[in-house]
Amino acid sequence: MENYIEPYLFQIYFAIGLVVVGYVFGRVAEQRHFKSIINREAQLINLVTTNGKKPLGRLENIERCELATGSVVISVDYFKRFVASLRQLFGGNIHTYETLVDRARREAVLRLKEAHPDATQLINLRIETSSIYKGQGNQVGSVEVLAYATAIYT
Amino acid sequence: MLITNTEEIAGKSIDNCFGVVSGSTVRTKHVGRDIMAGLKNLVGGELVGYTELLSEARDEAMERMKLQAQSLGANAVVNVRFSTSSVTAGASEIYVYGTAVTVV
Amino acid sequence: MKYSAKLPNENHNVSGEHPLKEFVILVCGTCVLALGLYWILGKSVDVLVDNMPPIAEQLIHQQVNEYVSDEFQLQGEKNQLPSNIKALMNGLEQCAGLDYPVSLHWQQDKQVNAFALPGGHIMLLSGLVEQLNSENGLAFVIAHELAHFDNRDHLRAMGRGVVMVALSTLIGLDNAKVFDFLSPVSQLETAQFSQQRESRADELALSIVNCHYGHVGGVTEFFTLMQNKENHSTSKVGSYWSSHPPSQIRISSIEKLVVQQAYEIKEVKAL
Repeated sequence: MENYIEPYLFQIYFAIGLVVVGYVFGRVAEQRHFKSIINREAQLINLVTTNGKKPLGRLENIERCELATGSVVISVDYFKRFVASLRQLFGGNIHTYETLVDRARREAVLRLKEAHPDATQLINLRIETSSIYKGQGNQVGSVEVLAYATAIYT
Repeated sequence: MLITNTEEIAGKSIDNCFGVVSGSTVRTKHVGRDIMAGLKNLVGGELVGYTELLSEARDEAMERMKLQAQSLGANAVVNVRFSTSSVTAGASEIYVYGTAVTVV
Repeated sequence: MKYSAKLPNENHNVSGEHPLKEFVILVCGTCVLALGLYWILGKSVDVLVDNMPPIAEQLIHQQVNEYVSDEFQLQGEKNQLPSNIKALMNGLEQCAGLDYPVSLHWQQDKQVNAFALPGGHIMLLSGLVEQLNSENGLAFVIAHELAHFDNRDHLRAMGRGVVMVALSTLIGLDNAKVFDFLSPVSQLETAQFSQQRESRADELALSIVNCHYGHVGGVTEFFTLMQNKENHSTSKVGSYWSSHPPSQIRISSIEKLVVQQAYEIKEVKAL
């Protein structure tokens, strides 16, 4: 006589533990991050930012232009990865990854702006994403975003 | 809602600019499609399931960008750029961004 | 041209759905999918096995037999049986009416157990024979294993093994994590199936023993032995995943069958 669940028991407890830890810590970190993003976006709201090649309006006495960059790498927690791998069985939007890439992009743009708070305009903004670290079994480990633009000072 | 990937819209002039708006999505197909795509890899040809996935993801990302532009009060998005990345195997991640403006 | 500084009042790029809700829906969906898929595939294996002609069954037996004999080193002196058990085996085999020969083996082992190996081999562990007092109790254990062959249960198990491997290669190739999760779920189906087959084997074993002795006295001796052991270990939840039904249930269903089929119960023979 054998019991089919026994060989898996350790594996199951381990996975449940990781999912719970991933959910609790990931959720706290995410909510804190979104709060900080919203605050900082409100602070920097008056910094003119476009992704056009030409500055808005007619700028007199341009002092200098420089390349502005901002980048961030954000990791996935175990809970998000687990839900995403189940979602891949059924198809549809992977909601748990959407918040991840949204956070990463807004954070990268914010860092770009924070590095040039005195610029008159930020133009020609471009955003690139990549996953630099692939975890086990081709799963994503983290999302990397690079934002770059031209900062114009007058 | 006008969407272009040029800086200006021919025949119209931009009178108000709202900054950068963006839309993004991460989508995946069900596992049956993945299996079929794996089999199709043997003989080559178009992976219809994945083409569909890409266009769905693109449409959804654009829709989200439009919603954002609308909530700012814009009636056009100019200078639209797409960017994709492989967040995870078998899923499509599309990011689209542009400058929200009002044109007259 | 003027610049109006504004922020969108809500985030359109993420869904407002609570992640735990999605988690619960996906986990339930996956469990239903895994059980359903495995159930359908298991049923098709059953249909295939039930309709398999005896010649195909014999062919598979020959193939497996060679492999199993080598693997378990079944030939040799240590496997010689006492003569009374040999005679019992012959009698039972005639009653079982199988299309191919089944050989009985003997192994020195403290465990109280017996099992059937594909290719027509039944392995008795010496611990079992030491613990049993009556020949009838032993006869039922052997008849139970013979019944497994008669019901082609080893073929079903092999077929399910093939299905499992095929599924794991299709789904699990680039999604190892999901498969880790699916396998315990599908094992639940395997266990339920196995328990059902065990009950069927008990049923057939009862008629084999009745054919041999003309009565079914002492058949539950083995389960009474097992029951004492189970009382110390098995948990309630674990029994759903067990390959065999709990002994208490097996004893009561055998007793029910005895009444139903009007089998006689007479004096048992000492071993």
